[in-house]
Amino acid sequence: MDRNFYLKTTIKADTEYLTLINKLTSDICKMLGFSEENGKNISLAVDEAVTNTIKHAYKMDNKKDIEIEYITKENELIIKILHTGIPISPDKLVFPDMKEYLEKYKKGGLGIMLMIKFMDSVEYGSENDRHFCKLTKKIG
Amino acid sequence: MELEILKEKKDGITIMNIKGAINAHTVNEFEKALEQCLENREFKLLINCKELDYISSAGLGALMGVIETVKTNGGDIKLCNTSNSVYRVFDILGFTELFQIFNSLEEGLKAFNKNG
Repeated sequence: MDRNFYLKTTIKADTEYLTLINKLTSDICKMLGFSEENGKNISLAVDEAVTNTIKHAYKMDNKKDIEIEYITKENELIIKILHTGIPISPDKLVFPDMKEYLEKYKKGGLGIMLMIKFMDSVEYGSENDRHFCKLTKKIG
Repeated sequence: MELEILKEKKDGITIMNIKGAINAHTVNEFEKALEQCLENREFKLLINCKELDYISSAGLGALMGVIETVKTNGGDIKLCNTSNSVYRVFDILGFTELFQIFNSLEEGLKAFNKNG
């Protein structure tokens, strides 16, 4: 399906919006023709990206804003999570060794793993004064 | 309510019936319920996910936070009735090696009675 879809929403950096964003993402995915399975995977990836922004970029300051953009381009869904807090540096991301993780009962760092596993690409960057996490998934 | 946890006991096994979503917003409630089990020395935990809409990494972290104590006390955490999407989250990260997942509550209870 080749269509131009664009939706932008702004939320406060508060975890109370997570379930709402999960539902919104799931509905958008359904509308764009993703399978239910992919829709749930994408929704979870967005949940994780927003959670990381609240926790790490804004250090739980719920007065700050997070923008979420949903864009379709060349048969891909691009979801951008934008903020003006502390940029997440891709080279500082830690990808846990899952074997060791499970053997030693470790905690944390799983959100990024889920994002990578469920999306085609996960990118971090900055434009103007804002920083973003960009999630991409091929439609279909 | 975004997350509801109802506990019941059967044959010495604590069943936690989860309804709603476990994410970074609701995870404190889930953690509290798990910690309460440890305080009560309830180490055989069967998490019934029949009405669990979704679980994010925050929920997995909560399980990882208690599993060592549970296992060192001779217990275990098992799950049952997971939807395909919830199962996939556990499976894709390899968590199914640490947490057994059963298709039904009965199978989960039986596994505890069999293995202790």
